[in-house]
This record gives sequence, C-alpha cells and structure tokens, in this order.
Amino acid sequence: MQGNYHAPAVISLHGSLAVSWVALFLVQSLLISRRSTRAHRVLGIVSLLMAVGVAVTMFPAGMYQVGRDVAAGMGETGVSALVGVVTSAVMFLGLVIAGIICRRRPAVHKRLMLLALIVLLWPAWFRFRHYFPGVPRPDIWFAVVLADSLIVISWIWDKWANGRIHPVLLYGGLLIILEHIFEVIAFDSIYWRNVAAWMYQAFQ
Amino acid sequence: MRDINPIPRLSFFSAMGIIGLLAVHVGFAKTFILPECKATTTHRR
Repeated sequence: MQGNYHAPAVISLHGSLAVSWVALFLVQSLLISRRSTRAHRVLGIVSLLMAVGVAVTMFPAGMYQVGRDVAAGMGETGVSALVGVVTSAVMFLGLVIAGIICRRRPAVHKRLMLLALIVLLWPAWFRFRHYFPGVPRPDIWFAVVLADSLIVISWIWDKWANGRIHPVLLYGGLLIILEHIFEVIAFDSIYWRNVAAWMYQAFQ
Repeated sequence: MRDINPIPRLSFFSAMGIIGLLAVHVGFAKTFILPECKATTTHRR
C-alpha cells in the first residue's frame, strides 16, 4: 500500500482492535448460522475483551487526534471532537455489555450486537468524505445518513424477515440516530466546547 | 433428516459483517494512500 502513514502505536492498536471486532462479528454470525454455539460462546469472551480494548483505546486515540488538530490550527473545534469519541466509546461498549448480559435471549442479543457494530462503523463511513470532497456537510451525509442507513436497512430486514421490527432494534436504533443528529446540531457550540474542554483536561 | 446443504445461506448478520469490513477497509484505505487526509479527520464543518 502506498503512502507514508505515521501514527503512535495506540492508534494502530485501536484500529487493529476495531477491525478485529468487526471481523469477529462476521465470524460469530457465521458460527451461529452453522449452529456452532460452543465456539460462539468462547469467541464471545474474546469479543468482550476486544470491545473493552476498542473502547479504552478510543481515549488516547482521541487525545492524539485532538493534539494533532489543535497543532494544525483548528483550535477549540479540534478539542470539540473529543466529545464524539467519548459518546461513541460509551455507546459501543454499553451495547456490547448489554448484549453479553442478554446472551441467553438470542433475539435481543444479536440485535444489540448489530447496533454495536453500526456504532463502531460510523468513523469508517465518515471517512468516505475523502473520496467525495465535493459533498457539502459530510457530517450529515456520511456520519448520519450513510452511517445510520444500516439501522434503517436493519429495520426493513426485521419487518420483512420476522414480520415486525423488534423493539430493541427499533428503539435502540432510534436512540442512536437521535444521538448522532444531536451531535451534528450541538457540535462545537459553547456548551459542547465546555464539555470538551473539561474532558480534555480530565484525560491529561 | 440429514442436511444435504451443509453450507448455510448468508444470513443478514453475516452480510452486515461483510459490509462492515468493506466499510472499514475502504474508509480507512484513504488514510494510508493519502496521508494528508488525516489533517481533516475532525473537520466537520
């Protein structure tokens, strides 16, 4: 691969853990479709540990990002990004832990894990703006519309395949969409900046 | 009855996992190919 990418080890670690968790989601769904529940349970423990690693490494990765963007002259807007990092970490890990708690209720468990996947993926979707720099408001079109389209697709699948949208998918998905919309509206406001500055100091 | 087709159809969840992996790789590939993109990571507006 071309380019000369340089980043601290924690960024590579965070990225590796996040990609591995997505790959593990695929493996876990394949294992269940093959009825290999024993292997699914064992890998579930690995998945939980990995999810904790993803969430924990989000904080130093976010701090690195803030330091880099502030140095690049973005000022308080650069610090504001830290709030989204924290909300993503909390939502992702919260959904995974809820999924583990509800592991004996497959219908709930798998939908919580699906929502966790969708939350984890939004930075990847947001990066699609680099391919389409002409698109205005990438924070809306890529980070909300494209990223959360997976929630809408999941609703359609649930209704089509199961006759109704499961409440976990419906209300959990709605909460995620509303939180993402709130982030777009409130991002970099004075209140947002205050929270971000407080977080920035707390993590140092 | 013995399952004559041991390879199950691709489930919705597996498909979502594949979409996720593709999104991660395509989304972040740009970071490695064009390192200058990193400077706009948090640029939302």
